[in-house]
Amino acid sequence: MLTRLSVLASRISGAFNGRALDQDFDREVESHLAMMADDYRRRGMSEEEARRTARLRFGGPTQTREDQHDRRGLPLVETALQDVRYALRTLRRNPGFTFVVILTLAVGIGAVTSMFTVVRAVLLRPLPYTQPDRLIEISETNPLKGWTHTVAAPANVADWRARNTVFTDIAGYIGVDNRGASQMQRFLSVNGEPQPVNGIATTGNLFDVLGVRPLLGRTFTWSETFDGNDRVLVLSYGAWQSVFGGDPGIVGRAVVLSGRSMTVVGVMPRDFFFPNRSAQFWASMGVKPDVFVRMRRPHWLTTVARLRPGPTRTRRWASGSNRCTTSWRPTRARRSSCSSAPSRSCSSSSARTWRACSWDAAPAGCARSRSGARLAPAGRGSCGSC
Amino acid sequence: MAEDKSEILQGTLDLMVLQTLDAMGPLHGYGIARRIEQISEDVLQLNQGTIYAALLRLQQRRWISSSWGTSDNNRKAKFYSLTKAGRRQLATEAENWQRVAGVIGRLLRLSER
Repeated sequence: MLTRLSVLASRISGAFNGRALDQDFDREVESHLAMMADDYRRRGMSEEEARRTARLRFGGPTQTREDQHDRRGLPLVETALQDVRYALRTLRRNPGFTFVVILTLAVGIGAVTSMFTVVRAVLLRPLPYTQPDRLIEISETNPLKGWTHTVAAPANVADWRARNTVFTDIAGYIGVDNRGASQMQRFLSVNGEPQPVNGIATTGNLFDVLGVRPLLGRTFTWSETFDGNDRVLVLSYGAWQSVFGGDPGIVGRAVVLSGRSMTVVGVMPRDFFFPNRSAQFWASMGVKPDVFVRMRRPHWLTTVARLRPGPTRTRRWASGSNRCTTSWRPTRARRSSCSSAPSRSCSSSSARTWRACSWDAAPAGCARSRSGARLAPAGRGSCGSC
Repeated sequence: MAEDKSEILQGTLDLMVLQTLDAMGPLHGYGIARRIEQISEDVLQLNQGTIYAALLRLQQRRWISSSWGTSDNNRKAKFYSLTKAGRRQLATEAENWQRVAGVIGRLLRLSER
């Protein structure tokens, strides 16, 4: 093994010093022939004859030199390098052709790279949540008003939380545009200097529903959803780094967010994002407890819910069968059957986006599985009316 | 070339070179070739140039090393000498060779009987 390595090392260095080693070998052969000729002369040969005999006994110095050259270096590599040099010369002679080739390669590589980037982000890289395929967005439908996909009213979310048997929990948040980007801009004052940041306001259980842990500190508790306990802030890794310079003592630090003094309670890991990478902070929504359970309109909460474990129930629910939808129909719904359930039309919509009807009477809800990097409406309306 | 000269068996030239360097101390390529011819009493047919293939092989394996010097009759020549690893290798190969030679010899004697 060691022997092989030293042979390889010697061959590599031989490949780079080819010319010098060739010259060295030439000198060696010359001296060999001279010494041999000396001996023949001493035995009485003429100068001419001695030299000729020496060459004969040596056996083809040129051949030996070539063989030696090949054994010393890496002939395959040298040939390849020769080919490369030849190719470069040819290309230089035909600049037009060269330009077209380079352009073709550039466009090809660019296209493949960007395609792969998208595929990786959307399909290959898992979302930074626990079991992201069990996360669902639930939205309301209202056939009477022609709503097919609407953010929820807080009281409806409260009902869903209280009565459903399908989800372990449901969280709500506000502050995103209809593509899921954070559009709630605030100013964080650091040492008296306000810095613009984007974020969302959320219920206290958001991070628990997503199944994520903070990098530093803690996330919110459910009671921090409400007015009075809401002066808490969780920062993204990016905001922690850029606004606070990665201050290790950030947890517990009091900051001013657009005039409201808040306490930073946690920092999320670097790869975490929600709903997408535009959100730099998560604040509590600070709603009043009684408003939360009583407000049926307006509708302003975007939801994210985690399905209970258990494949059977999920499948049944996803296919919109009556049994599972009725099981979490709230008392408010007057109609007794789930006649307008979406069933087939929804489950067949697409492999990665499905929706199911939650209940038929207003407010009816639709849920769509969240998968892929687009958390919001890429699939909106893709599955007909629920 | 005469019929009574034998081709050198593959691999034996290396052993001969190592043994020669062990016996004679540092020597140039011509000296090694001459010495092998002398010892073999011209039984072996050796193009002296082939000695350099063996010398390169042994050098690549770090069993011998080389440096330029001056010969007895004042000519510049490259001298080869055995390294520590070369000495070890010589011992192993010599033992191996003797074992094989012994076996071949016994076989031949057996079939003569």
